[in-house]
Formats: sequence, structure tokens, C-alpha cells
Amino acid sequence: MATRHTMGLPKFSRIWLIAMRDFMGYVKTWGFWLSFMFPILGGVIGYMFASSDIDLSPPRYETVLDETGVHGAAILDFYETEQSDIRAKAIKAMAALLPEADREAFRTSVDEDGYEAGLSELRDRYPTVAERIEMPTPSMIFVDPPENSLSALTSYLDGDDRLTVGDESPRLNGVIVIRGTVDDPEAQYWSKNFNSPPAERLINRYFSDLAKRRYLESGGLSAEDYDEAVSGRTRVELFNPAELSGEDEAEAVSMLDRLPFFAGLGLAFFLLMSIFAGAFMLLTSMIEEKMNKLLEMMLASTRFSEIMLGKMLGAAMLTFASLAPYILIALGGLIGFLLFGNPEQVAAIREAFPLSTILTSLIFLVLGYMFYASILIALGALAQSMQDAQTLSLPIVLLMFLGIGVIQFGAVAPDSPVVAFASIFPLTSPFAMMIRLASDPPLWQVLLSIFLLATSVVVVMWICARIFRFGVLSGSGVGAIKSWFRRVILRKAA
Amino acid sequence: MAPILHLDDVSKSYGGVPAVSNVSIDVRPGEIVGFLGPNGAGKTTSLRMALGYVKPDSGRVSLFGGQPGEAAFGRVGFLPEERGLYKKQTAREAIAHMARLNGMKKREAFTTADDLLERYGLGDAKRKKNKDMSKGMAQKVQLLSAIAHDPEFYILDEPFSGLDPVNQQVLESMVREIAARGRTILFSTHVMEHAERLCDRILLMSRGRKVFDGTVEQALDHAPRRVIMASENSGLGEVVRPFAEDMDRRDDGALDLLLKREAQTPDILERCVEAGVRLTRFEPIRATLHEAFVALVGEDVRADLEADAAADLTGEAA
Repeated sequence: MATRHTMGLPKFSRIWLIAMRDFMGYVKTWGFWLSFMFPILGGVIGYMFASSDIDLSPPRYETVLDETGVHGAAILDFYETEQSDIRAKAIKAMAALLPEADREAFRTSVDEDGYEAGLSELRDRYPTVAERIEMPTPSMIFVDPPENSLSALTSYLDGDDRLTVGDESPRLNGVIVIRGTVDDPEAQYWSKNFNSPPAERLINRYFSDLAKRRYLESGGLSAEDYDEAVSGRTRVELFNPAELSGEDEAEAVSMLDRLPFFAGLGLAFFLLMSIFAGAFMLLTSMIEEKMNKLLEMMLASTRFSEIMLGKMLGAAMLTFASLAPYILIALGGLIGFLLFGNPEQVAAIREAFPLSTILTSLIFLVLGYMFYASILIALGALAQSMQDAQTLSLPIVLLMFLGIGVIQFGAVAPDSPVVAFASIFPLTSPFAMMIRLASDPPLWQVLLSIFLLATSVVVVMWICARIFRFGVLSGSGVGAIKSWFRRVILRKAA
Repeated sequence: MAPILHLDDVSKSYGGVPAVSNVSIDVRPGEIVGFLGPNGAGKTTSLRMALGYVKPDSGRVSLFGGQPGEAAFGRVGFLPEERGLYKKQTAREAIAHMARLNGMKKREAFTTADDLLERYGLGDAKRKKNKDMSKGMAQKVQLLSAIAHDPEFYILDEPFSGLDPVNQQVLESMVREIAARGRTILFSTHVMEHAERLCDRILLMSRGRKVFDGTVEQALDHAPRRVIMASENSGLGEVVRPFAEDMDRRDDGALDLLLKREAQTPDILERCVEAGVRLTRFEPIRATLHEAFVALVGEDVRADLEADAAADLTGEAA
């Protein structure tokens, strides 16, 4: 046995010991490793599917029964035109890999001569680029009807009879039935697979296009001219007054300019997730320690505040560890981009995320987490069981929903008075201010918000330490609060 | 010598109901002090005030000459009344964790944990998870967690509760070993026999008040004395009646005398000789602490004690 102990152990050592015990307690469970391995398992399963011959969404075989003699063939032509446009778009996207001088000419040639001409050109002049093309596969394949009536096709739709397509015998997925006359057609789609079938959407697009054409033609106009007029319309550009300097022409707002806003949204959601993920751990670990009286033993060598901070740190470490694969992938991508990416884009990203914004976001992230975590710990200390904990944590869950509401509202209107208020009010400021930081809010508002949040954290931690002390040592929970309320507030005899 | 623990006229109420009333206690270095009383007597609340967990409503608490709290961290080993461990920790991890919280270095904490487990017969359970241990084993592990850092002052709240007789014996040995190293021990119990065997001094609590503070012998002085007597002659009862507070005839025909406070055994013998009574049995019965306690607090507390004893029996049977 040790002969002497060291006195005055630094506070952080005890906080760290408590955090590590809580953290390791969860890390040693299967559940943690399942969630930790999830992205890796997902990647492996995804790779296995990608490298295997399994087609997750094979094309659907469809057929058309047309009584009008016109619309059936027209629908198939319409679908073929759409597919050509999709393929042309995929071919034109490869222009980004061509020398800059050839890009526009290549795009124009695809527009004028079609995707097949573009593909041939790529194969002739840029075979390495042509190899990288992944042509989109059509979602539907139309075949001639094997029978001429809907009733006769029922056995195909049921799967009792099969189609014959080359060497394969696929199942018939659906039948488009066009009845009525050429001028007044009626369309039906018959299929056992009726959850948002692509054929139904195709028929709707076709008849929508037909209605437009007929209407324009009735006024002596052509649909092609109309489409050209629409594509040549004036397009609006977004500008940020912060970018306007002197007589230089400001550049329109680009995706890069919006990055800080998206990053703020991402951080706000990360905070929300951390609180949600840590909440269960904080509550259950508090209840376990309260029930087994280990807390009482620990208090002979540890401060209340150290136990609370240790638990918060442990839960935060667990959340980070659970999300580590995602964080590492994101950080790896970011570092890779900063090191090897387009220098102009790298410079723009650096400009979009000044150190002050990053630090301010981190302050709100840490304070916001501490604020909610201390409330949850206190609730755990008051609870006698998981049922108690669920009841007690309901108001916090409702506050979280308020946080989600603020995030959603802030995403649409980051400068509205409601979001401005929410970014200063301590219950919502961690979420709201992270979103507002992208639009450069006045410095005094940021400082006021930090001051109020930090003060609230101290006050909440103090109150929670009182509740914690009361909850843990009184051995009672909600009942004791009721009793206190009756005695002190209602002045009723004990 | 200055006391390690000094409770000066402390009182504490919960919800308006007094738990401890005007209690003063001193625990001096090197003493084994038993804190006795039935459940609800105020023992746990007094210990919590001693540790600074609960602030007294009135009165003053001094631990190691100062306020209880951080200054005493690492110097006190506390075992709470209700026991538990982290279910997924192993025995050595549980002991080392508490030792490290009390200031021990990691390597030293694990070495100490292994040594203690070996010494107290739990060597095979070192790497066993707490959830897989028997109740008795888990209790021993928690006790070792409380004492692994070898503090100066041990506060053990009902350490014998829930242990089987064999483990109670082991625990008694542990307490004696600790005391032999000059450490100070304050333990609460409602089982008088443990206190009788172990303590230098006992503090008796009843209904939130201290009713006795002194040595076991001093406490026993308060207990009623009894003598078993038998004789070949008739009339023994009449001869000894002036000395008896109460008198019962036993199944074997002997008389069981509850002596009056002033009655002395030599006087009884002398009176018998004078009366020509030939005694075949004269057996003074040593008073128990339990009897002393009942005498000190009155008959109304006897029911509390009997209820505790019944609860203990039920607990052990379970």
C-alpha cells in the first residue's frame, strides 16, 4: 500500500480522469464501435456493390397500348429526345477536362451535331477523356407490346409471363394506355410498381409539353421559339456590398462567397448533434453514478465542478470520437484542397474564413455545448430512473427543436430581427450566431452575445451544481423539488 | 492532541424534519471510533456534514483543522453506506481509478490495486468485471477503492452491512490492520457487536441526538447487570429479591436476576451465606452494548433497533 499521497493535485488531472473514465466506459461498448465503423463499413459495402455486377436500379421494361395511333409513338420520341439531351449534357460536362481553347467549340458542336458526334470527336481527339465518360443509363426501356389488350398483358404484369429481349426474359413493369382521340386523349398507366413510377412522370411531361405547343400554335407561335426566348432571358446576379471598392467592378456572389454561410449552418447542426449525442450519455452516466453512490465516494476527493466538467468533457470526447471518421475525411479533403487545389479558389476560401470567424464560431460551439450539457447533468442528478430522465429532459428536447427552428429560419433570413434577437438570447445564440457570422453582424452584437452566453454558462453551472449537490446527496429527485416548492413557495407545513 | 474531526453543536433538517440536533463530536488521531445508532438516528447526515457534503444549518465543522473540502482531498477515505461500482470496470480499474482521483500516479495506483486484491483474496478477480462479481466481492472491491490511497482518516458508513459473517470477519481484520498503522477510523454501524470488539470509543446516536460519548466500558456501566443463580434449597428467590429489579425463573429452574443499580454481587453472596442458602450456580452475565444502548436511550428506541436487526436478517437471507 502506498505510504503517502500527493496533495493538491491540479484540477485538470481530476477532470481528465473523470472524462477518460466516462469516455472509456462507452468506447468499450459494441455500440460505439458499430457507429465508429459505420462510414468505413458503408464505404466497403458501397465499393462491393460498385465493383460487383449487381445493378441497384435496373431499367424498367415498359410498353405502350395506343388507341389514338399518334400519342404512343410521340411519347417514345419525346423520351428518346430527353435521353439524347441527358447524354449530351454528360458529354458536354467532359469539356471541363479539355484545353480551355477547345471547350466552347466542343460544347457548341455537341449542341449542334448531337451527343454521338461529340462522343466520336472525343474518341478521335481526346481518347483518355473519352475513357472517363460514364454515360447515364436510361431508367426505362420501351418494348413492343407482346399482346394487344390490357387484359392479355395482365399475366406479364403479374410476372407469370415474361418478355423476350435478346437473350434475356425480363418482367414487364408497366403499360401506358392511351385511349380517346388524337385531340382528346386519355392516359392511364398500369403497373404493380406505383410508387412514383418514371413512366407516369414521362406521360405528364409529354402532355404538359403538348399542351404548351398546342396553345402557342393556336396563336401562331412555335414552341421552339418560345423555349429559345426563355433560355435567352436576363439572369439576375447577386452582389455583396462588402465586395464593392472604389471604381472597380465588383464580382458577383459565387458559391465560394456562400461557403461561410454553409459552414455556419454546418457548425450549428454539429452543435445540435453534439448535444443530442451527448445528452443520453450524460443522463445515463449521472443516473448510474447516483444510483450506485460512486459519486458520494468521489466527492471525498473531487469537487462538484470537476465532476461536472469531467462529464462534459467525456461526453464531448465521445461525440468527437464517434464522428472522427467524418471529421477526418472532411479535414483530409480540406487540407488536400488547400495544398493542391486551384490557388485562386484556395485564396478565396482563406479569405472567406478569417481566423477571427473560426475562433468566434469555436467560442459559441464550446459555450453552447457547456450551457446545455450542464443542464442535462443536473437533470440526470435529479432523476431516479430513465423514466424520470426522459420526463425531465423533455423541456430541453423542446429547446433543441427551437434551435432547429432558428437554424431553419436563419438559413432563409439570416438578417431578420428574429434571428438577430435569437443570436443574442443565450438559449438560442449558439445556433443563431454561428449562422449570422457569415453576414458580418455588428461587432457589439457578437461581443454582447458572447458575454451573455458566457455569463449564462457560469450561472447555469452554479445553479446546476446546487441542483447536482441536492439531487445526488439528498438521494431524492423530482419529489424533493415538489416538497421544497410546497414548503418554501407555498408555505405549507412539511 | 488536536482532533482530526470536530463537529461543534451541529444541526441539520431536511424538509423541516430534523435529522441531526445539536451534536458535538471529536475524533482524535489514532482512534477507532464507532458511530452507533439505529437507522434514521442521524449517523449518515453527521458523516456527510463531516465531509462537507452537507452544510449544517447551525454549528461548525472542522476537518484537519480547517473547513471540510478540497484541503482534505487525498487525506480521507470514505465508504458510503450504499455500495456500487461501474459495472463494466474491472476490479483493479475500479480501485486504481479512485486511488488516482486521490492523487496517486497511474502505475502506482494499479500496482497498489493488484497488491490489495491479492492480499484480501481477490487475486483471481483482478480482471473480472464488476458486474460479474458476487455482492460480497463487489463490496470488498469498493472498500479497497476507498482505502487504496492509504488516507490518514477513514470514514466508513455501515461497512459491515450486507456482508456475510466470513467477510465481516475479514473486514474486522482490515480495520485492525489499518488502526495498527496509526490511522484514524470513524465507522458507523447499528450492529453493536462490531463496535464492541473494535472501538476505542463509541458515540451513540438516537433520533438525531448524541446520547453517549465514551469508551465501551463506560457505556457498559450504564447497562443493567444480570446474575443467574440456582440453589439446592428453596427460598432463594426470597433471599435475593431485595437486590433484584426484576427476576425470572428459567426453564432449568435457575433464577435470572436483573440487578438493581446499587446491588453488588459480593453483597448477594454474603446474604445467601447468612440465610444458609447453598448455591449450586452463581453466574454474573456480562452486559452487552445493545443492553447499554437500550438503557441509555430508553425502551422506546428498542423497537427501532429490533426492526433494524430484522431487516439485517432479511437482507442476509436474501
